[in-house]
Amino acid sequence: MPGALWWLLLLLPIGSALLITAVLRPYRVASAAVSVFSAGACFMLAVWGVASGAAAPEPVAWLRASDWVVMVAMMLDPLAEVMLLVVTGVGFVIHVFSLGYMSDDPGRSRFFGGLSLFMFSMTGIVVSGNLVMTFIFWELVGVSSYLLIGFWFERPSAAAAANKAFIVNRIGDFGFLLGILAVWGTLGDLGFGPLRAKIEAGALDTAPWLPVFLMALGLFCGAVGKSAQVPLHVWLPDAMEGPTPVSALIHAATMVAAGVYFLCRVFFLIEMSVPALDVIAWTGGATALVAALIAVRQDDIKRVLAYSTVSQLGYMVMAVGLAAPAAAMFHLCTHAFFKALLFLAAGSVIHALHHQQDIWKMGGLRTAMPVTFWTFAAGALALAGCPGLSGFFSKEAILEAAHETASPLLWLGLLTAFLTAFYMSRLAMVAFFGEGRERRAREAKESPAVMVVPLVVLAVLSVVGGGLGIYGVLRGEAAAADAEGHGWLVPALSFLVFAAGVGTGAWLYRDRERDPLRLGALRDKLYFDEVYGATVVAANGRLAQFWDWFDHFVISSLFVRGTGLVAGGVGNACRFLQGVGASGYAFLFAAGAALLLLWAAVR
Amino acid sequence: MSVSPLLVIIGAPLLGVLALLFRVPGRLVALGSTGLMCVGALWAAACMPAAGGMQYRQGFDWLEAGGIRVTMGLGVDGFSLPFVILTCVVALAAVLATPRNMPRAAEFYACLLLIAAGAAGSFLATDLVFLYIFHELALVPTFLGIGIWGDGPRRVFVTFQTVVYLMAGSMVLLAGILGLLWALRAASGVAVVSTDLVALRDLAAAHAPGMAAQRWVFGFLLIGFGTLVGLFPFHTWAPRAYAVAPAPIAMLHAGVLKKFGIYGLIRVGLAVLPSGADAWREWLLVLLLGNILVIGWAAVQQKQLNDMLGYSSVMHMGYLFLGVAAGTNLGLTGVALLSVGHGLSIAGLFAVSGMVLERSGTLAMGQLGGIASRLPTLGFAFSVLGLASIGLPGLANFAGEISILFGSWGAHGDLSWGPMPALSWGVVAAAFGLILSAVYMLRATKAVFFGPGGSVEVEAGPIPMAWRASVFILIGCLLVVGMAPAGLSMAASSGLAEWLGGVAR
Repeated sequence: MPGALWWLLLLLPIGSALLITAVLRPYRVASAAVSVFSAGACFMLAVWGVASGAAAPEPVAWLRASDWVVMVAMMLDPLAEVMLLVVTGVGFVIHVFSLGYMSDDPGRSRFFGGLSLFMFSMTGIVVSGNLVMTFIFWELVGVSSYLLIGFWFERPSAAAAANKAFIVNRIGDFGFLLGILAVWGTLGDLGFGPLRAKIEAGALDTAPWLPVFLMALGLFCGAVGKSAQVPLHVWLPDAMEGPTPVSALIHAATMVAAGVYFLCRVFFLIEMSVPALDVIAWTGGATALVAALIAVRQDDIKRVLAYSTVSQLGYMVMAVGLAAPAAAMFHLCTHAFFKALLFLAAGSVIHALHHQQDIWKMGGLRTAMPVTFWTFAAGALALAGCPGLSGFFSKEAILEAAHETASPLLWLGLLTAFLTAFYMSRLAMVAFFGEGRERRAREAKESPAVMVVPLVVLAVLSVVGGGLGIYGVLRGEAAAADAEGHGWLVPALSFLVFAAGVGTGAWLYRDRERDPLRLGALRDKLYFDEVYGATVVAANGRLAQFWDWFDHFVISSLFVRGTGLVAGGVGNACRFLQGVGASGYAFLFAAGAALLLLWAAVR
Repeated sequence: MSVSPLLVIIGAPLLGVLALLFRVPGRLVALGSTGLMCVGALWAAACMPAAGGMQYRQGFDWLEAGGIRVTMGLGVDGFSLPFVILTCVVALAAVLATPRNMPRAAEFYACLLLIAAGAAGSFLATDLVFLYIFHELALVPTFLGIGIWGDGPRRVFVTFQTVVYLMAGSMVLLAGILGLLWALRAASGVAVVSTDLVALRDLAAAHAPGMAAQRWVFGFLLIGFGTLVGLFPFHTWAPRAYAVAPAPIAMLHAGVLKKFGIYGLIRVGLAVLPSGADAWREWLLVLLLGNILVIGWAAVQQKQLNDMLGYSSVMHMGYLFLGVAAGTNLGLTGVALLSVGHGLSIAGLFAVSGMVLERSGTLAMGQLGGIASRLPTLGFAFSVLGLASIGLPGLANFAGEISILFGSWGAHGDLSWGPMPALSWGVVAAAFGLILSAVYMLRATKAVFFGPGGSVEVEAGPIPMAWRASVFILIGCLLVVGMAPAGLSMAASSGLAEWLGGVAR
């Protein structure tokens, strides 16, 4: 494939988004067709390009002032290629699924326009060759996410969730931007290639630890926001207000994983600071555990999956912190398969139940929706770490990294794995087994083929995804040196926690009408939102109130009107001297100017 | 004198005003004149050589008295070009956004055309005195526009306050200009000082005024120009004036005319008094943080849509001043880009709020809601323009902001492992301001356009084509500049490099 064709990866989706917004909005079928075609074509292009090993195209200057240039440049190494295939592949499958899921929504054109904008932005992050370009597309995925979370904007909860997602991400991007500036200020470059070369040549070897630590931490801030790490994870569960295909594509498989991808992209820089790696590892570990705990006691099928996503993202971030970026990326890929699958299967259930999302109103769907059930089961088992399925291998790679560094995070990871198996088993038991608890559940029917086929495709990937050689590609030379395999300890422990988790869940939730566990703190999401409401949000409100008061009463009233009163007095005196009207104004004008000049001259 | 694009840009609106005196249909004349302005701007941009300073220079000596020679001169370089294009586009948009049933339409269009002519003139003038005069020419119809066509019971008081405030600013500026001429004359010893900008710059380069004079005169210029832009704490006129002004006037003033102050500060202040600018840098930094943080937070608290837009506009001026404080080529290029982006986006936002007011009779955010379901065009336009104004990549404002932040980071200081230079702290605060701007803009979008309907009735009839054209022209320009900013940034950068020479790094 000629290298210039790579540009189509960006041009097709943005063209589709602009075309739909400007022209095709009234034509719902045409909008959907254009968007799905663009997603499919991008996937084909990505496969063709990766298979033929096409070189990256010539960079183009986007913004230039004197000697400062921001390039639109592509970097296509194995890391980008793997991510590109995942993003375009899963993206295409979800586009097809959306054809069925959104078929009766009046805003379908707007939906597909948003999806195309998202594909453009996400592809941009993946192929980006420098920090500013990453930041640009980073903001753009943020806005596509904002638009799609708020897709049903007439619902106050959806509008609020969209704002929350955007603002929380902006907080992370604040640090991200400063990190980029710090890198540029100290290393004088923005491109990943030149930066890497400079660091390998020893540019940071003599640097004190603090600036390097802050630099790495700044870049990490971006990932904390986008990949929903504690304490900025609060936006992701709320983002489930968006249509379910959006949850699958953006808020599970791809965009939220962009933070992890970016950390791997700049790993050469982050690893220069050991304290930063520690912070990253423990942030990830804490996120994994906290989110898994909360997921145990959620009743909305999408919320369970959302907290599970947060937890798995924590796993990946932890892997980066443990200096195992290849393991993180491996888990990112398998997670993209099985979590997209789980969300789409959930979407299939929600569609069949006319937008019922409470798992305690479901039940018995195993027989009513067999394909959905079996594919969901495949995804759930992969997520829980069933031996032989994709999730087992990738999770084991991360735990192995923790084991090798003798980090206590191994035990934290195992505990999370147990909880994961437990809550997925709970979800499956309550929603799919037993008898239907509501009429809608008893009358549910299997979804149409356009929705079921994507489920099957993703199910196959979830099952075999561990054996596709992704890990080997990602590890490159390290794989050959390390081909021996590891001891039996970590796989054995993984299997034990998997079996224990699934078993406990199945035993506890078989034929239940209500949740036997109380765990109010977990049900209330460990009060993160309440704490933020009482601190950050309240402080922001107080500051806004104070400065508004300050502006009105101190500056405007005292300072300006006070001056005005004095000036008015002087003016009255002048009127007294000079008579009214234009001559008075002219006099003041001239006298003021002269006085000021005199003042300056005398000094 | 040959016909140049610059003559078209200034002449078209002035001829339009003349035609209005003869009772030619007002809207037609206004559309024709501002359309011609855009043609002139395109012509000027298309035929500009890549480098070489002021282009299309023409002019004649006007006055020589009191040791001062004033030349009526026009010219454009890469730095003024973005401002000129902005003026022409927003002028056309403001005319298009004027409702057809405007009372005293001919007079209103005359005001708009005069503002446009004055603003264009102030960006095109190559003479210091005319730069000032053209701006004053634009201010007077602005006051009339607010006073006669303004909305609300506080109209007269607000007009009075705005007049007093901006006139005071202009007078401080005039004092600064006179002081500048005096200081240059004293330093160089020439008998007659030409107020031609190029001559002034070269004179200052050859005979720099002393440090004390530089500091004083620059202080006057900073406060004078700064008041016109709304530099904290000289900003209080701005939100109140915009809350009252009719939408097209607010579009032209907030979008275009306000940028005169920042343009003049760079064109005159930085070029002629570089040491004065250095002396004021820390003070300017403190003041602009007032813009970004104090006004940013105050914007969060606003309950009226127009108040919020006014505060947000004042807040974003802080970013422009950050570029000025840095004084680097990159930072100042960012100022030009952000001026364009902010001008286009705030003009569009005021157009939308004008339409909201027309359709619902109120701008109280507590009473509005759900307009996007009734009038999707308004919801779409406000979302895009709001996102532009909070710096979404792909729209012009982002290119400006990122250039300013990069241009200020590490300017006038050493970044290698030591403590951070002062300007870098400014950048940290400015980056923090990006969170605040997202908070107030998205909250307002949600309150007015999303959710279920509010407590007031919204008239849901079709939106006039002219209004749509106005807003979509603005959005289109934001997209073009935002997606491919290199053309404009390179023009501004080379223009600045030529104009400031060795002054800016």
